[in-house]
Amino acid sequence: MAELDGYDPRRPAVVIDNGTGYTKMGYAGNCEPSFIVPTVIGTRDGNLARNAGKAAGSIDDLDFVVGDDALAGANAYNINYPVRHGMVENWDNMERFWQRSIFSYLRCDPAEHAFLLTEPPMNTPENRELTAEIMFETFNVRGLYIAVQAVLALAASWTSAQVSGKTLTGTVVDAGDGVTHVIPVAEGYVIGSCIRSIPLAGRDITDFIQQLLREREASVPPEGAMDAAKRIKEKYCYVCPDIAREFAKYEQEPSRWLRTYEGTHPRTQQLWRCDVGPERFLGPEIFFNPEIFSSEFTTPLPTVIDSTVQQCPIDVRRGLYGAVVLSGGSTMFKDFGRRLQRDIKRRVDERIRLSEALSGGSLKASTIDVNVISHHMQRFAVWFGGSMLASTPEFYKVCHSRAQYEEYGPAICRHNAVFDAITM
Amino acid sequence: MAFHSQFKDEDAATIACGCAVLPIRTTCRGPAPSLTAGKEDIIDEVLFFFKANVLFRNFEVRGSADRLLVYLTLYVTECLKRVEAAPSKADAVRALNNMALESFAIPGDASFTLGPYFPTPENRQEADFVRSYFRQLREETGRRVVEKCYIDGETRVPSKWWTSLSKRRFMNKAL
Repeated sequence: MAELDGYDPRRPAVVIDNGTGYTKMGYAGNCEPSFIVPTVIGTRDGNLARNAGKAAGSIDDLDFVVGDDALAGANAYNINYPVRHGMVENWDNMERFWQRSIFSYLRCDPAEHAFLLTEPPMNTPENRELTAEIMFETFNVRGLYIAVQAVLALAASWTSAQVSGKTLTGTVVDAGDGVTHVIPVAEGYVIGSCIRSIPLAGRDITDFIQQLLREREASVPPEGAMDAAKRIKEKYCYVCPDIAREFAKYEQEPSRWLRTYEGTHPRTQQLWRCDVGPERFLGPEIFFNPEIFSSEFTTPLPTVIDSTVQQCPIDVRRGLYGAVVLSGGSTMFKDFGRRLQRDIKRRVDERIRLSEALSGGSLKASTIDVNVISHHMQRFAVWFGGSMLASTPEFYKVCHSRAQYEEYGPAICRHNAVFDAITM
Repeated sequence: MAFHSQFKDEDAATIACGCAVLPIRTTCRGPAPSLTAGKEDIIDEVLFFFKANVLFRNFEVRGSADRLLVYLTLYVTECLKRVEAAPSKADAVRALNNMALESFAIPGDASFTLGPYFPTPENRQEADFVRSYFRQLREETGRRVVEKCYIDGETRVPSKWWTSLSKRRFMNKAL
């Protein structure tokens, strides 16, 4: 097989993680992505009437903006989110988005760099072919590897002090802005039939905080409420072990626990302020007691994780409990991991106790270790995992090269070999 | 999951209409046994869990003390509504006292909203007992809610940390 020549520090691989909300991009070997932009594109398509009076000679095809510029120019352009639920939906727009990502953000010559892109679990091989076609034909990249996001999140957890061995077995809990996924991974392969998703994530926490503020604080202007709730969530929220006790703490020592949020009115620019109270711990609580926010979905996250692992093949369950890996911005709350671990452990211990009781004392099960792994790279865990793997010589062995593409066609990208953890 | 009462059926003197008759710390007259000062009673417990429990829509009644907890939690919500409307602490005290003493529904009545959770009284005697027990609880609960709502010597504006919860509906019900 034609291999790419190994790692060249002058031309590190490019790592792009196209999420539903944000695209994280940068170079392999860095610990943070260089650019984080909303995965949005603004085009002039179907806007001909408005453009009729435009100066002659301009080409509509090239008149588009991406990321924050697109959101800022929302009234002049047609806004489109090319990625929906983690999958690419609009390939034309995705191609344009990549074009800008490479040439105006990363400013590199794709012919000289290998690329690592990410895909959601259960992505179709056809989508990989389309990705390969665009990458090799349009951008003429030097090499391409398409990695599963959950596997990269697992790899990112190796940086945590809690992790001793480098294995690719574990349960990934990915909580972003729109949806939360629980994805079991065994030895680098996603157990597709056992993936569960929860319709609660960062945006719902923001909504809930906003609702609590509306009930109590009259000073919050409706126009700025959403933004205030989002900032309060990011700045002040944490996870508590027991909400009734936490409420009591706030009553006894309000000065220690209450915070003040100051904001400016978006239109009048007037300063306003409000107290921030129990929403500090009630926001993230919706993961553990969804009932307080939603009447449709009421299964707590620890229960979902536990039942996911129980569905998986029996020989990997211990490994899945042993490494519950957090990924995504909505898992960043203080003590989130600790509470999750406690709640899962409780369910697991209870089940063991029950089965021992049912056996009448004739069976003794050894205890199951439950470890929830938190680390510093949680927010960009997927990107960071990609950056880490793409900076190893191993990456250039599994990467599909341009020569291979020309020889075999886009079909070679249908399959992407799992990294061998041992050689890492 | 919502918080349940820590009191067990054994703590109760008797059980009337499925409700534990528990000792309470009070000077209000009624059939409940009195509790020595310094110990926690069911009303303390209800107020301790109130802010958390009121957020929940589902509650599984597990024992006779839980029925009391449900009833009192909903009653505290009613108290907060009155406190919110009262212009001063003295008015709030008066309003809550009136509410405690006005006629109210007990298990078995058609207008009792928690009907499915409470068994109906078996005879007139039990009904009268429950009525006077509930009245005592309502009176004492009202007194304690006022003390919770007006803190730091404040007599005009009740604490927003309590009154903001008056719109929440525990178990999606109201008394």
